[in-house]
Amino acid sequence: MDSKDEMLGRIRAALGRAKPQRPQPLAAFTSRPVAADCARLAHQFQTEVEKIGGHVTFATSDHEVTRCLEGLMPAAGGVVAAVSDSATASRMGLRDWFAGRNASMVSTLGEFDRSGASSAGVSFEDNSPAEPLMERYKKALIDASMGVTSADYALADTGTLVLVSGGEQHRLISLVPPVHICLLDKSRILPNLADLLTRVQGESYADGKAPLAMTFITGPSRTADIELTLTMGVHGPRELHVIIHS
Amino acid sequence: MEHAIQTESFVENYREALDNGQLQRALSNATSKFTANRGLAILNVGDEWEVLRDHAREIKEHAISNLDYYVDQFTSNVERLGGNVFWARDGEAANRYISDLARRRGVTLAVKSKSMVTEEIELNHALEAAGVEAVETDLGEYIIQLAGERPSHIIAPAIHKTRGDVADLFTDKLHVERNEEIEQMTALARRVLRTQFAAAGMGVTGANFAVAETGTIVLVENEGNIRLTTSLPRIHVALIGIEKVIPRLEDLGVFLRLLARSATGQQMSSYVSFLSGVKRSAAEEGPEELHVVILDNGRVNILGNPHLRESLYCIRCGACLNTCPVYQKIGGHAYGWIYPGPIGAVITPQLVGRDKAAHLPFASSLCGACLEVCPIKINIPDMLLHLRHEIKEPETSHGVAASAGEQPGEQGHRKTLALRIESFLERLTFKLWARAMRSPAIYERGAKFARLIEQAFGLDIPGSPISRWTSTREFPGLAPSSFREQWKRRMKAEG
Repeated sequence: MDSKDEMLGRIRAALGRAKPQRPQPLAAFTSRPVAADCARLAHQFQTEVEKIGGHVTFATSDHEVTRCLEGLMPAAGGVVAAVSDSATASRMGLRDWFAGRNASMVSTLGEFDRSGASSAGVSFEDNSPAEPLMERYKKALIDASMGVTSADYALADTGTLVLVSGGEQHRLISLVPPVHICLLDKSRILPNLADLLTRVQGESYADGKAPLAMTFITGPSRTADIELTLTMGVHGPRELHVIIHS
Repeated sequence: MEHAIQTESFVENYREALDNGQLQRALSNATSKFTANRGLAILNVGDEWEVLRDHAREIKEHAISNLDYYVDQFTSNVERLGGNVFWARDGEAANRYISDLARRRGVTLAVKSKSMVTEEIELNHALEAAGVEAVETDLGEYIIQLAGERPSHIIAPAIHKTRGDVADLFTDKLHVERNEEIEQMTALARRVLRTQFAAAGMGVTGANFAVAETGTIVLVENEGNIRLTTSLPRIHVALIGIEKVIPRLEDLGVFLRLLARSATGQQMSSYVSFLSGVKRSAAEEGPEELHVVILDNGRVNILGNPHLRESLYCIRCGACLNTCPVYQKIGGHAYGWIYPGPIGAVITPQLVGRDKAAHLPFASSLCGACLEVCPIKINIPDMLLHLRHEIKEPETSHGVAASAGEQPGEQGHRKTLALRIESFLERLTFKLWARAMRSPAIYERGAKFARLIEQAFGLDIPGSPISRWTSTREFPGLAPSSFREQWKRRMKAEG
């Protein structure tokens, strides 16, 4: 077994140094600046997402958003919807909209936390408050057929959604259900990765803070592990629908 | 379970691989596909590709040459954010820590993401011994775990298996009706593994990058199993080799642009997770405990060898495998251990012992294709040459020759008798060759003699000192008379 000092000491010895030393500064690398035209970025984002099997729609009103959702509801019904606590979803009244379409609703983690009980339409065996919060939430979420979240940022050049934990609870809703519907504010689309990293460095990662999880989502889940044949929806969502709203 | 290190039977290994028609087809298919896709993806990036490669190398050079500073910074930040750090000198220490942790927390089921370093230390074996079922969740790894085999490729572990093989496997191990439809088999694996994700008390991953500045673990994937492994179970264990540490968050702006393109030709993998610390309240989505196991296991020795140090720059993209004419024919298993291909030929002798993996650095034509495609411009050919030197002439090569698996004195200070005789014969041969080349008379007589031998026996004589070359090559036929002889004859005839 090593202690910290033992291992660091051996690393130093291997590098031929007796004492710790502060590194020389490492140059900052700037990629070439990209003109950030909102409409162009949105169009580029759409092209990239569709290239890799995702779907993108534009909505200029809340009504258009719900119309898009309507199109995604299976004719047979039986939807179990997990809608996150995103500000956008709340503002648009999406939970009520789904409930109005006879979908079963999965409570958010926050709701489980506050009430300690299930919400209408979802029942499970062990309802006791003694069962850890996450366990109850996980159990309910596993049955969801559709998850709705928003995204914090998006990258136009690769068609990537960026979800930063800390505000909205979108980590599991964007992962567990087989269909992920993502509401993206047009103004949050950035040109590229370098831009995004500079942004979050100044916000979420400033002053020694760090979000529990920052997740990049680029298209649906995929694998080609069997005979190099591409298959979607291995562990993550099979379908990704992005609704870009302004 | 294929646990033994099989590097010493390299010759048998590759002969078996060359005879396996199915493997040959699978390798040809996979490597050509990956290589083509990589090419297209790079075309897309244009001139910036070379700039990115240079940047990546600069970052890695800086990080590795200041590794003590950055490992210190990374682990301090992990602890500050509520994680635990364990310093593992070797695989045994790491295994003991993780098994003890599982036992103390009453974990009986662990889910794992694809991680070569966990295979390097044989973590699954240690967990099983401690009463913990360790389930691989990456589809390719899940398949080979069921089959009890080793991965044959860094990126696509089960490419050596046909859909029929997988169907047979699933029927046998999962007791389902046989179905060769790839979509159906994938859906089955998804269903089976979902229950494991939900029930597991521990999730184990490696790390693609460890950001020192923020204490962040970066994990890259296409399937989503890493996201599930690191968000559903209560405990996350990340096993991280010291060389994975990079200085800054912004450095991912360089590495993420190189990694997926080099590996599969994608612009970006489906999911990238940036994980920092643990949750501070019950109502957050994520694990309650984070245990970062920082692993040496021979890496510090590699660090101490200035000629071979850059083998630590590797980001495990697999591009060198796909482009290597040797790997393309013999596949991953032939290399006998976890790390195959050109980078494997450099790392394996250093980690398991040069004496045990002596064949690997010689199994190369030094074509340099690996260096051409490496996103970090790691000079693999130079390192192969240096390793050859270390293996054949340990007392004259510089740098640390002893590695994890060797006793001091075994390699560094004493050559075996066989090796001494071999190297004496080699030196003698080259001395004689140099002598012959300097003397036109000896050269002529030698050429005449060679012609006689060729006419009588052919040049491919089994057991001859050059039989290893002649048995697999078509030698150009020697001309019936040399130019000099024809010239002499002509001059004589003309008087």
